[in-house]
Amino acid sequence: MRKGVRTSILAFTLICLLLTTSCGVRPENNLIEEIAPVIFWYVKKGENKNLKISTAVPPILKEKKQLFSLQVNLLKQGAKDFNLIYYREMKVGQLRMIFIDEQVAKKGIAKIVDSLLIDPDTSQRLFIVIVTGDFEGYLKKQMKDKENAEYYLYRMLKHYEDQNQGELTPINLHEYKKMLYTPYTDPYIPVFKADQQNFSYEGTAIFKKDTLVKTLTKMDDQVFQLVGTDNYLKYLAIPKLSVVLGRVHTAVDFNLNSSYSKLFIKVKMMGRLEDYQGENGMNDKNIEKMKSTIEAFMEERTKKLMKKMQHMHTDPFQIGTHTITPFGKTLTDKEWYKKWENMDIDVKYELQLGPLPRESK
Amino acid sequence: MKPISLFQKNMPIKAVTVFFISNRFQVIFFLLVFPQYIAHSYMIWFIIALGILSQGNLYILSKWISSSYSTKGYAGFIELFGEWKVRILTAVALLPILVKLSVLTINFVSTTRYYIFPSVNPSWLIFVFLLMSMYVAIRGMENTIRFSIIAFFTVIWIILLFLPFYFPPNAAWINLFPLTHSWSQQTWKGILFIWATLSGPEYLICLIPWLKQDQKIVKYMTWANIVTVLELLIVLIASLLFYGHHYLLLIKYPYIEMTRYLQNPIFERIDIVLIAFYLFHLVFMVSILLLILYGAMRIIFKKVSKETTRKGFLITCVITTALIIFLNQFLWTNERQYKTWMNIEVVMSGFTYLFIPSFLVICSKIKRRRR
Amino acid sequence: MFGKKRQAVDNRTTQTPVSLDGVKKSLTNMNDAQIDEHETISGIKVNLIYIKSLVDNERLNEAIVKPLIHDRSISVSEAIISSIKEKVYTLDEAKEALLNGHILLNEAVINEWWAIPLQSPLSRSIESSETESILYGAKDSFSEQIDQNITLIRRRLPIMELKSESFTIGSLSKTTVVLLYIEGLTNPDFITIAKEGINNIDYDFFTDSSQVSALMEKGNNSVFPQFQQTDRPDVCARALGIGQLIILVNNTPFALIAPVTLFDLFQSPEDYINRWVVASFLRVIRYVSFFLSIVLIPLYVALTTFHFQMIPLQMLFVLTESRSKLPFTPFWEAFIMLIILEIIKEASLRMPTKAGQTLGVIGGIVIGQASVEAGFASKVLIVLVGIAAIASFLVPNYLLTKANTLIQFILLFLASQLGVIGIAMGLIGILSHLNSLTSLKQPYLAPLAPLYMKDWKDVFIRGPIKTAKERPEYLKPLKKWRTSRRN
Repeated sequence: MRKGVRTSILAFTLICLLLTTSCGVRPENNLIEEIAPVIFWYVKKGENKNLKISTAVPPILKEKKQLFSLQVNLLKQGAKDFNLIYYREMKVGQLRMIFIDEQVAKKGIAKIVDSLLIDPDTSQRLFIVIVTGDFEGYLKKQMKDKENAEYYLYRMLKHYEDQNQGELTPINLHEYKKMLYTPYTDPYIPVFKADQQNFSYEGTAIFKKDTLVKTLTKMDDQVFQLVGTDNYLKYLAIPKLSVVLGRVHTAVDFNLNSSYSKLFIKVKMMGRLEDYQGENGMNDKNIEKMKSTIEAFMEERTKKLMKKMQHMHTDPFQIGTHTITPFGKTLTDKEWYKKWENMDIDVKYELQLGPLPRESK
Repeated sequence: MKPISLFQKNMPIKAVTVFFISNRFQVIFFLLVFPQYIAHSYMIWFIIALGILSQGNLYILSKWISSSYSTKGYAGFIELFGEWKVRILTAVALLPILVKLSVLTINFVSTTRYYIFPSVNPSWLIFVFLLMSMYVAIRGMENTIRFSIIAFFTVIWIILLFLPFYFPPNAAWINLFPLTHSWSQQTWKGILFIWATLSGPEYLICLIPWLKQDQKIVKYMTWANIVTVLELLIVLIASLLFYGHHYLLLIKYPYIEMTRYLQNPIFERIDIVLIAFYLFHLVFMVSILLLILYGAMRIIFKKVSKETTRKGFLITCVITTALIIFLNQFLWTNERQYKTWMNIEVVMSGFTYLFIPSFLVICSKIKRRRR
Repeated sequence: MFGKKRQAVDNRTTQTPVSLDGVKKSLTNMNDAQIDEHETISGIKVNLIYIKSLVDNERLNEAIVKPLIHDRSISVSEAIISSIKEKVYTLDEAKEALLNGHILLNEAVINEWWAIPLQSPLSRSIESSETESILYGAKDSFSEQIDQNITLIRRRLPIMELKSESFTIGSLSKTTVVLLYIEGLTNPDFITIAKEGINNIDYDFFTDSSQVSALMEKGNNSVFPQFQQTDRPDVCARALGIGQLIILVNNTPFALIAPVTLFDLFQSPEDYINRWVVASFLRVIRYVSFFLSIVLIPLYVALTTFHFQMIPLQMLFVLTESRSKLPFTPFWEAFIMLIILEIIKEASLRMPTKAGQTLGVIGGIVIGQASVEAGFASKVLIVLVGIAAIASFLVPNYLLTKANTLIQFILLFLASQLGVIGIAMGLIGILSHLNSLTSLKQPYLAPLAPLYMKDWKDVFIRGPIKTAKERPEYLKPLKKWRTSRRN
């Protein structure tokens, strides 16, 4: 009896050993001191048809940072080549941001994003950012001056992502993919401009499917933030009217008629007056007047923006989703875009300003 | 060496345990495999409808459970069919059990490999997981049945993690619409899959002798069914809200992918922890199935009257492990084979759930009438 | 004084009648044995036989010798009225009586023998419990004297139903073991199993109740105690009150409570003194900290070895930096630190109090900044080791605290092989082991598996006393209700 048990256990172990020793048994070595977790990639158009990808290593704060750049055909090839030139193995498990050059984005970014997504190590919360200008130069400069510049970039994006902070809308991988694959919606991604000194927010890049078609800046971007994405801006600056509104919330109501030939957008905007540099004094009477000026101005800008979108056959406002009802047939993607391009658009703003703490003459 | 008493009955197990066993048997398949043809809003209606239908089936099952044959266990079956037929039926039953065992294990292993250890040899993982299950199972049927409670409580809280997906900014209610859809072949597949998901309580037939005879068993099975349906609905609706129907179709493991999106101040990647927790669930399932398998082997080889032995159990486990490793290495290598196996499992478990309870009830009715 | 049922451990085949020669023979070479001959006034010759070191000499003179000598009655039995006396017939009874501190009184002429108990009251006073000290609540604790211990319990449960059955175990130590239970409340099955267990004990020497429990329990190889040891009479009385039974062992201050569950070991007497919300919170903290103390270090090893993706970015910077200078892998780093910690813990227990302070200082240096600077361990690990060590002390049961170190090592090894999956496997192993453990044949994870939902009021949390009207169902008490109205 005892012998039988022993033989069976032995046999079991042997069988399993035979089966298992053929290839590597141990899990991947991820000893944190032997790897270099990369927290961002920068993808740029290289020479010929290649891509040029860069990242900063090492991740340890107190070591001197280097910017590595490589010319590659494939994105993941870059990951491999980096390992061959650096003493720590690079891992993408902590990848937090991908910066894509505007030129690359204009050609389409679906493939880059897909190759990132295939790796189960990549987080869905990876931020996608479009950059213009000399981002490499900026990084090189920053690495000399600051200890971990790229980490602060991440913190900035994270800050604006959490609880809807206004100003800009960071887009992560999941959100981008969802917008890309959901009918009637087109993705948008924030755009940053880099030069030797600064890395500044530029506006929002509007995509048609996966290719960049237009970058909204300044006023257009503010309208887009208010109507299209966040419905919140910390500051709405209207230089033309010499006025700045603060803490602007909007409630947007898209109203489509039954044949989808007419769109009526009603925007209820609530905020407070932050700054006024105009000639009229700040009192209740003037404010009433100013309100209607702002309303008219916003209506005009919004309408213009919508027209632009129609012209470019793109719908980042996701207006098409308003055609969906719980029961009933839905339009196909093509049908919708056809209707969208020829739609009449009417915009109405209604501004509510909080009371002024004190008036001035 | 003392012979071990795998199937000994020390104290009858409380009827409430039925809830845990039956619920865990139902849910696991859905959690591991979330097929694309179920990723539609209108499947919500089918889940509810099939849940109700499953309730009817559970009622039939409870008829068998409360019959005099089932409480006698093996002797009852002999009385009903005669020894030869029982042995043949058991041999036939081996197939769905083995398929279930392999499908569950291999799916879990591939999930683990995909998310945690991409470079580990799958055979090795299969071996390790089965070894773990053996460790649990060797403590006897009674303890393993009770382990269901632990398996339940270590996993059930995970469903709470899906609540954030019901709120913006993650959720867009518009993604749930439209709730109707035209009928297609996909729909049939979906229905079959949901039915297969709801299957599992039929394995209670093998466990009845250990349970305390209680009128409440039906009640607990009903609750298990309700919880299962709720769980399926919560996950399905959350995934629809989060991904939207169109994007969801492209995702292979939405259940785990969703948890990855959650943020936690302590751990970044919750999915790794969750997979680790799901190991409790898997180990419980596999260990119960291993014990059932060993019991079946004993019936087939006419060893029921003899004492259970470590050797016999170990041999059963070794064969099972070898079989699963073999399947994984040679018959589970590409997407087509994967789909075939899934279909086999779906059809088989759907079939066993639908027909076994009624078959047994009808047989016992006929037998009684003949008397 | 105990129940009349005195059960003999070894089968005495010889039933030699007691005789003076026989007694004298068995007392040879015992310098503390004494045989006094006295004669009463009425002329009856009396032999007093006793062991000096075991009897109270003063009381012997006052209560026995004096009245005997001055006695005018015809029979000795009348002379000593007040004392409890038992008649002795066999030599073995005589020996046992002598060794238990009795005086043997022999009326020489008619050869009649009596045993009069006169043990010397050698015991320490009732002190407060050191192993389970609490701020509020009763302060008394058991001592080595079993009678005194029973008194402490009886005072708390002055009811006739509190039964105490005595057994003698140990061929050398002749230890008295007393089984306490409340008749009509404690499930008779437990009593039968316990009695069977005690009667089946066959061993020579007992120093502590833990040996009694070790010989009674099923899962000997388990690290989890299957009997709760306590030196608090209030805990014992409460346990009796809900339907558990107590085994008292002579010469140890630790009583055994059975059947217990794992969750019983997490309860402190203070739980029933604090406000229920506070008590519940503390109890949850206790469970959490037990879990942490097991899992924290293995998790560190798992994360730093395999799952760097799980570490928050900011944390990763700190970890990479502090780990990059270490010569050891995370497993060895953690292993070494834990071993050192165990050495320090063990040493501080054995040290005299004054030297203990020095030890504390040195220990603080070893597991602290110095070891980081020397490049033995990372800062993060030091913090985690500290947290885990402190967390492990939150469990009121010290035996469990010691057990979790071992569990930690097992998990540590598994974590170094398979990361988080390894830890999960370890936990599965532990839980399935706990699931199969029994205490007096009752499941060890009781209100959880098997499930008794009603008892959950007092398991993970401590519900308000007003709602806890029923005794725990898993103990299957004969009387369900704690309130008088319904029974």
